[in-house]
Amino acid sequence: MANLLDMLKQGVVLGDGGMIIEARWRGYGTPEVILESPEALRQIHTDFFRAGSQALQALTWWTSRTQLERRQGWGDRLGEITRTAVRLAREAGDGEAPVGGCLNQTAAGSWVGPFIFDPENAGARDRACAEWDEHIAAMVDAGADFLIPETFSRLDEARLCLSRCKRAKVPTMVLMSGASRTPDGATPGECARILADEGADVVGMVCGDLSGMFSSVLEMRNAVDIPVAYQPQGYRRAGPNTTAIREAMIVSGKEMAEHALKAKAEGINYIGACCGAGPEHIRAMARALGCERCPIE
Amino acid sequence: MAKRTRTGGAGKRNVLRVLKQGFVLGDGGNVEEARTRGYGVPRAILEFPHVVRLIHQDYFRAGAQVLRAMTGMGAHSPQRGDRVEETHRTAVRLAREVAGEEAFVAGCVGPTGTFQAGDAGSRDRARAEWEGQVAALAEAGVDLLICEPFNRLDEARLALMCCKKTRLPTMVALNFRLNEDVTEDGVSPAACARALVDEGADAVGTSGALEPQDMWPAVVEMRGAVDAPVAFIPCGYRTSVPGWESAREAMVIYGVEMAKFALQAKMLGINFFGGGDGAGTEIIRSVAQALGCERTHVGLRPRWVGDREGVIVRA
Repeated sequence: MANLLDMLKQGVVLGDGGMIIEARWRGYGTPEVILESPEALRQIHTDFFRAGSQALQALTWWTSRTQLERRQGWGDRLGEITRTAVRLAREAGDGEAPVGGCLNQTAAGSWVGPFIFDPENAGARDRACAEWDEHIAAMVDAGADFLIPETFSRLDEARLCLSRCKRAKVPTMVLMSGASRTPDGATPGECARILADEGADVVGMVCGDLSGMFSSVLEMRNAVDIPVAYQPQGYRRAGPNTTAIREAMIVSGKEMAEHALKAKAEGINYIGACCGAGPEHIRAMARALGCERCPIE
Repeated sequence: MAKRTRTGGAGKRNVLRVLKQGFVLGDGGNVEEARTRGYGVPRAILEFPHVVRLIHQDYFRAGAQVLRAMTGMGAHSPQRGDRVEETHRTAVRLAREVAGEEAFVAGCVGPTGTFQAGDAGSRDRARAEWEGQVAALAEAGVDLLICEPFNRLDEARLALMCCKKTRLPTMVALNFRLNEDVTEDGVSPAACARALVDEGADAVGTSGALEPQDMWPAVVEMRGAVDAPVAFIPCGYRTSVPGWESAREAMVIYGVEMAKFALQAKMLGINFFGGGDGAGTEIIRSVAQALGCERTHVGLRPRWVGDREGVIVRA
């Protein structure tokens, strides 16, 4: 199996797009798709892989115990769901593309309720750790090649999650998300430095606007020597009502490709995408970076 | 996915009766959908049948009541020769496996790309291609034939003639040029509709390279001209924007707008709505939600994905 860190030493690595939205676009909800339509989920990974993705992200972003429990009452199926998600990505990656297991800030998205993590509350910290530990164990057990704790808005929570990932002894890519300064007061450069000091193998930004997020990623690039990741949304963030017409808010593949080249020129090492970016976008990026895997015939 | 046998589509209901009585939702541009997923058609039909089946399944789950087999490019297939028929049969089978008894399967017949009105030889070649193609489609068990999108009436008439030999219900959909409202051979939508119905078309309509608002006047004109069922199959890309092709991912016409046109078509007595290139499974789902025929609902979703149903007026 290819090793992500070795690949990053050799050059830019192209990631994949936004799994949840692509599944949604095809008519499958997450995490139901993992159990109910595994062939459809594997096909999405395959489509990214064929387009040129050199690393794949398992659809585990939403499979922590609390989220499964609150949403479907599936808390006890965490192991089954997480392992299946990792296996499907591995099957699609075909031994060529390392698979990252995603995990998120506790109870990500306010719609599932308040965050478990609370910096002032030791009990809450323990509960968050227990949640991550269980999730990480299932992913590593299923053969995840690296871990991606991602979409963290707070640095303190990201640091805590990183410390749990490090115990699993697989490479860890920590991805921050959000404004130019975290709610706990760190700039992207500071986030990158601190996370790198604490053992992150890759740091980066995810799920922000294509150009809006770019300066944050550059700050990270200038702050650390380790590989930096840039995974913008395939959506244009333009006003409060854009979610209602989100199909019309998709960025073109051409624009994604231009940003991929720009990121490469700036020394960014891992270039992927997030919500709204489908195989077509990754293909456009892959063509620009010269790593399209299966041209359309 | 429903299982079924080869005979009789959609519970033996007659597709024409259903069209005449009401409003039928077709699928979207499935060949373009395959391309966005990274597969070229017709090649994918034989090489990646599971991908083609999955695309049909995704439209079916969204709510499509007619699945179009990916046979419209048959005539200019790079797989000429022995594999053309195999490709057609497989394409129909894949759609049928998904449709089961619950949806109709249409065989698509597209322009040859080489037709020249004044050239008897090209007419003969086109006829020979279409006759072979529709015979294969009929044998494979399609419920209807859809000739689309034709830029010329004379070519469409010839294709219709070939289709009628199978006795299958046949829909003919034409593509009109923007702001001219005539076919390439200069015929108005109303005159086209009348001519095609006179020659045996069971349904007529518009399909092709215009976005809904630009295609709308032509289909309205057709509706006024004939009693036969009328179909509206607009392009799913914002074709009115110059250079849309090079940024097509960003030029998808969103579900709310497509749904609006589908409802408008239904109210006007148009009988069929389908999507052209760019109308992916999510877009057809939006239309299905508006029409009240979504088949498999996608469960709860987080707020940041959007609350699109709230925007659509339910039919």
